[in-house]
Amino acid sequence: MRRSSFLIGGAAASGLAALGAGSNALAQETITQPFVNGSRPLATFPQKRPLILLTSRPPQLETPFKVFDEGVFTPNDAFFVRWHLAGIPTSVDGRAFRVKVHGLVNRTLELSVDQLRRDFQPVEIPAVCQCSGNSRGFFDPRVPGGQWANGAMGNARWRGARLRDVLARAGVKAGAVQVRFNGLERPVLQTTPDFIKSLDMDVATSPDVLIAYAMNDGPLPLLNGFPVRLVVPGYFATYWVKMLDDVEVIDAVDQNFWMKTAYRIPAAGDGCIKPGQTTPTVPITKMRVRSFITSLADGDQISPGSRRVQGIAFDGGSGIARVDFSADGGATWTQAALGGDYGQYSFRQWSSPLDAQAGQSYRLACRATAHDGSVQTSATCWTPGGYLRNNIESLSVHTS
Amino acid sequence: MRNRSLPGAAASALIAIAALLGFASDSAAGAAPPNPDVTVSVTLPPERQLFKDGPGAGLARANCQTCHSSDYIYTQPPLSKAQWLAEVTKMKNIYGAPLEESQLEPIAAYLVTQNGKT
Ligand code: HEC
Repeated sequence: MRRSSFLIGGAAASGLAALGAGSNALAQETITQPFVNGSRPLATFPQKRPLILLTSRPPQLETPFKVFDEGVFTPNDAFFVRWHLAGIPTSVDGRAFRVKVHGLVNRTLELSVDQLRRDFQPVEIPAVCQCSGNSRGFFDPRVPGGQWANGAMGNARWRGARLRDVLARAGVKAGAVQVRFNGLERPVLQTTPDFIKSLDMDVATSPDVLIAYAMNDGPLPLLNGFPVRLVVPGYFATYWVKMLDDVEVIDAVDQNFWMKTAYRIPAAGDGCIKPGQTTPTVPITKMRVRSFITSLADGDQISPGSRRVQGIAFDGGSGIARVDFSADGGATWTQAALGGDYGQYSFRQWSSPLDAQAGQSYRLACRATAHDGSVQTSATCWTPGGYLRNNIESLSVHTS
Repeated sequence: MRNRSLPGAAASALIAIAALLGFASDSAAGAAPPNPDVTVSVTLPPERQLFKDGPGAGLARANCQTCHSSDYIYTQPPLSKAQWLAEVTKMKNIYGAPLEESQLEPIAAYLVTQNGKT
């Protein structure tokens, strides 16, 4: 490729990339999510193809679901975007950026991205990043919060330094309880709690938690956390702090708002409750097993004949053991063929034959089973925060 | 670069960006080192001004798009007056919106005309 010649002159040489939003950033085209108030424009944000606009400031963009049929990895320019606070820098200097490691450590560190790349063993992990509120729009009764359909998720190959190697370099002192993460995202008014997340020591020092500087072989798009973000495979995206510049080892369980009050699920049982119930809560952590059909959408007209229906499945890190497919609304199931295995944190593609007769309707469904034995059921999970939806998903197609 | 397929309007801009940032030019060229040694500057598109005229619109415009765009309100499911009051109260008590007690009810009353249910 001729990429190198592009890199010699002009803006690249001066190390500055200015990325506009494009003249027709808010395109006229709209799509309708399948729930009340589901009308959404498609919008083109910097470094992104047209995505489903949930909110402009701070940006929250959903991946159009058909992207998940393009391949097992979600392209960077299609990867969903979710920020909490509108104080996001629109310009980040990748050379001046430093990750500070401090708190209960022997040596405070200030690491450049270059040091992260050179001084620590690079590790690459394919992993699903799924917003805790993915699919919130389908809750019944509805709950306030980001009204996503199923596209607030993506799968990428994340490359970076292990957090535990970085912590070892700093030297964690006795008495460490959690590690607390902050990024460049800031509240507009000082009265809003800064967005900070914390992980227990055993999770933070597990070998798969990364400070990632690459995503699918490229730099992270700014809206996905350029230049580095935390990657916590198996855990919901709320912990994957973007533009991560502050890592603090603390001696007690974090009491900040985003841990103590927000992003919590009912403590008892499987975390699902009846609407209106109130229960003690715990922080949300691992994702639940899910699967989707990607090659067809609800209401599609298909031609009679045989075809393969394709989809994806994932869980919170045990890996997908099997996927079953039903063409009769879940009355009978056949085991689907699994695609390539990219590790236990990745999407796993699957496919299954469908022999469609003329003039029929088919209710298609898929059901994933994870290696830890968890399996999707038809029961819908309701939580006050709109988290944890993972019931069997189904859709209808019709033949002419 | 030419045979990369990118969607319509974004294509030319993104190709330029890809070159500037040293993005891997295609996924097969996976060996390309990531290049965070640049300053990335973006211009975000303008936001929509969605609060429609009506009693209380001024209060909402003045108080409900300081920290975020107005689409936060219109993308919610339709909420009852009590639910909107709870949302507005949450903005004040939890996120520190500088609102007077006396403003909460009038704002909730306006919001239920915008995106409400009974
Ligand atoms: C001081 C800053 C601030 C002001 C002022 C503010 N909000 Fe918010 N609002 C927030 C934050 C922060 C969030 C979302 C946090 C997140 O992403 O989880 C939010 C989220 C929301 C949501 C999404 C649902 C939810 O509960 O998260 C709605 C609806 C909303 N605000 C309505 C309003 C209304 C109506 C007003 C005017 C009375 C208002 N906001 C004023 C900070 C503010």
